[in-house]
Amino acid sequence: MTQVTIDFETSYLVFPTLIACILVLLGGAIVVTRFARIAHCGAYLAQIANRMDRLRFLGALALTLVYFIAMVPVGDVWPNTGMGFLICSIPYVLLTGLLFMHDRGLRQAWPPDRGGADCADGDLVSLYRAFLPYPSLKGAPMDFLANITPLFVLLTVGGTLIGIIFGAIPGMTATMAVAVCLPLTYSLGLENGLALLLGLYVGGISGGLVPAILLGIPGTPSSITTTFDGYPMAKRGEGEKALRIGIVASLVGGIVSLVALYFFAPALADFAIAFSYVEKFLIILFALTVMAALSSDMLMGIFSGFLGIFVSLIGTYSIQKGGNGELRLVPPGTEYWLDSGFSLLPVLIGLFGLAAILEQAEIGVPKGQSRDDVKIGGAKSFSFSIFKGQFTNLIRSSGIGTFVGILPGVGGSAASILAYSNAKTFSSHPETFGKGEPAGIMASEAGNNGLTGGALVPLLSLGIPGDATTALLIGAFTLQGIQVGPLFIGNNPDTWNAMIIAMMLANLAMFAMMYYAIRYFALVVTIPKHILFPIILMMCVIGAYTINYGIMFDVWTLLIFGIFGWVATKIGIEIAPFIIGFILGPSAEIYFVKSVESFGDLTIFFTKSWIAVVLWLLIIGSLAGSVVMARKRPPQPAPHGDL
Amino acid sequence: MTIQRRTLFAGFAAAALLAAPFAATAQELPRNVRMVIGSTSTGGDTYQNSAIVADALAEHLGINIKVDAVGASAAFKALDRDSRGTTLMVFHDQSYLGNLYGVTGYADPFADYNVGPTVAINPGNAYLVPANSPYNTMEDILAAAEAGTRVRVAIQPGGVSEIGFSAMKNAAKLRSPGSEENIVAVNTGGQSDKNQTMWDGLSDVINGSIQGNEQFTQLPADDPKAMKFVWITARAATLEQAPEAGMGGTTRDDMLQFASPVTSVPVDAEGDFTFDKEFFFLFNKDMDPAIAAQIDTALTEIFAKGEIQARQKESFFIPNFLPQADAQQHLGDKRDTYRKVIAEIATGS
Repeated sequence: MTQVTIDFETSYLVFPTLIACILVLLGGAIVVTRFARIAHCGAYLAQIANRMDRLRFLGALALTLVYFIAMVPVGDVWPNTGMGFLICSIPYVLLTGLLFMHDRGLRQAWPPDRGGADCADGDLVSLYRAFLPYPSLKGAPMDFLANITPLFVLLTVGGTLIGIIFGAIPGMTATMAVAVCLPLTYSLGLENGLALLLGLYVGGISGGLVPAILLGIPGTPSSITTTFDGYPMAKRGEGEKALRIGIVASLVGGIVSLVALYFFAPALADFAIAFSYVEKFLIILFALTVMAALSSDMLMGIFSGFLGIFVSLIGTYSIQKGGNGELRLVPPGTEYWLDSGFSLLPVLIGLFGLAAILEQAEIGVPKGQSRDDVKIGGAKSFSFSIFKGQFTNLIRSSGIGTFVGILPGVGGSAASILAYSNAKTFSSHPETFGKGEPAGIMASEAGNNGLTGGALVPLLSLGIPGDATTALLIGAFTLQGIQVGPLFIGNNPDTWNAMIIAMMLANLAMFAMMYYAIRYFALVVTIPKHILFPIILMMCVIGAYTINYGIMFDVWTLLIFGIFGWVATKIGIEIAPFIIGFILGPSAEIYFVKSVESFGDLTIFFTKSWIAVVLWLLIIGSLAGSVVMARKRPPQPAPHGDL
Repeated sequence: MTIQRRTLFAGFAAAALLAAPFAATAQELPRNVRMVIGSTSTGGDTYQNSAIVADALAEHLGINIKVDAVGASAAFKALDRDSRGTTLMVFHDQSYLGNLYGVTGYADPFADYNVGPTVAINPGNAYLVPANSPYNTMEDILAAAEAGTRVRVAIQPGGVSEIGFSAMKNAAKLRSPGSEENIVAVNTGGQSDKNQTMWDGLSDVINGSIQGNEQFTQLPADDPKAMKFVWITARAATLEQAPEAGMGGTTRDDMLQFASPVTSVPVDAEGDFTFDKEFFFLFNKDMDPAIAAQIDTALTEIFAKGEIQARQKESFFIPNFLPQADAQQHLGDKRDTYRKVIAEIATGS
């Protein structure tokens, strides 16, 4: 009865079929329970069309379309120089800016003078002072500090700063920052090269919280869950508080994972290999349960989550991940573009960036919102007392982040989702999550920074990278001809110690720079929208184009999912569960199919090991919590990145 | 009036300056070249090899070359779109093995593109078993298959990882027809997945590499992660060019014990199967042959200097420059051999 045989040749259809069946069932349930609303959808859509600021909405869409179409032919005139992008971006930014303006005079087009209120000289001094505690460590008594030169410190701190900037720009990620600087490491030498890359890594992961909180756009995929509570806090005038919570939690996550890396790397790697396909699938399943918890309408939310999984399966069943390379769910005629499916980053910034800007265009880009709607500080200021009672949450989330990093293949974005899911499951007031709950930001940020040390464990103990960014770090070793594997730490103690020091420095530098620079982040929300939006769009295009080293279809993906995100909110599809399904879908497929392919018995999911049993208890706990919560509360708007 | 003329003149001059790079593209590599590779990893051997060659070529020719790890499918598409020489591709034997195994997205590189010069070999392709495995040699494995024991081999299907597995099946068939059925594939993903199938007890043999797995062979035998080599597919002549110290705790002489002729996996009655993973250029079919000739000449001069070889050997690659014409002949012959091996198994099972 429970015996199932999966033939490798047809394995590419198993999971899509399963998900399609679930979608049909959920879709049927939606039609039955919401028949009256669906029947009146024509009038509803007509109302939207009548209310819309057509000039700004359709104009923005048309300009974006022309921008994307023109980029390739213009780029072909000056190949591989970036001129195509530059030449097309300048008129695009100018025209979109003019379109979004209300008073189109030259005076209004210019950024307003802030009169120094937000950026006093004294702040620059305090920022400079933040660097003072980290002079050269040369001359320190311990031997392993011998490699720590002023250049090493400079590269770590500089790398962290550049990483924060990359992370803070929507569409730019830690992975990109590392990829851009990787070729430099050959000339810098191993220790110095690693100092730069690790700084970029820590900074990049941390910087993502800034746009996530202030704009509702995750700066990096791993800061997706930070938007759920960070942005609502910012909207009610607690932006500074949310940022400080996120930064402190990031530091805790980074340090906890670093301690784990330094003291327990080999032991943790041994524990990680006890996780086979089955346990990894259950971890993903547990992370997926957060879909239910994040849904404002449980049925629509779960449908949206499964839709996200379904869309993530479009393309080939990747050979690199163990699939058979066959195409599925690709409409005839679109194979050329869709053979690799949709990339995560363009989907993410399309749904959270472009869709939110389209929503603003739809309502005519209301004036004056940039200063007043999102207040950086004000009403409630930050105090460390907010962490009272959150010790368990912080340590648990850091631990989860670390552990997800240790498990190769589970994926970096899963860290913050799992930590968030756990925090909600174990919270005494789960109903506040998604509405601006500080514990949600703590979980998300401790989780994603916990990843940094964790992902280095399998890299340095097994020679296997724990996430996309550490997969790039391996390049720094191989370019120097250094073997990374189970003997790495023992054979290269100097490099190992230098890495630990660089990570520690990067975490402290990240904290110092971000904590004291919060008021500078405020500049983002004081920029008028007619300037901010086109620039965000341009940055999203850079991010989408560069994430896979120059694939134009990724830019189109941004537009497709921007429009989809705008439509989705109109028809009740919830973005948060959708994106979580999209992030976790490919891993869920590979681990589910490989579990059944390898063991041929569905009972293996329950009987494989004690770890599987523990994971099932967590899954049941999370689902039960969501159901109880859903019964208690009235329907509410879904948390997403509307600006 | 004068100002307008000057403005016009300046405009024409600027246009002429901007157009200059394109006028030059007819005969030689342009100033900015994109080198796409068939892998998405910047930590892998394709990226390393490409980065080494790109650096050397860029310095020698005084141009900019940027290596983009876009992956096979996107790299072929990028190459298709550009016949001006602004996009070049570097990949390895996977480019034609993917086609031989019928993987989606792999056209025949010999028919649809121009195969360019080879630059290096990664001699690391290997097969390993757990340290406590009853199998110590390929002979043990083939004998077990002959005796009816099922031997599970973890591979990533459809290319370099599978070709050694196909050769094992072919050797089993030569030894005892029908025994190849006992050598079965455990289809999985990258190196971490292959290792994990071994640690989970799902496979008896895994495909790996000297670079990626050597340290596991140095672990104490009671460590559950410990492995041992049973086969290195490179030719002995290739391995003999590796540094004498080998890699980690495995010397070159140790490696030669796992390669033909000491470790024999017959390809036919006359010889052993060998596989060197070679890296080479691929060009757009319509690219000006003068550009290919320019690359040939530049690489000949670069390899004559000898510095690139030192950098390749630092990363455990074997320098292997063959100009385009020789490379096409050599790789074409190699492809035909592997096509035969794959066909033999297909007809036998």
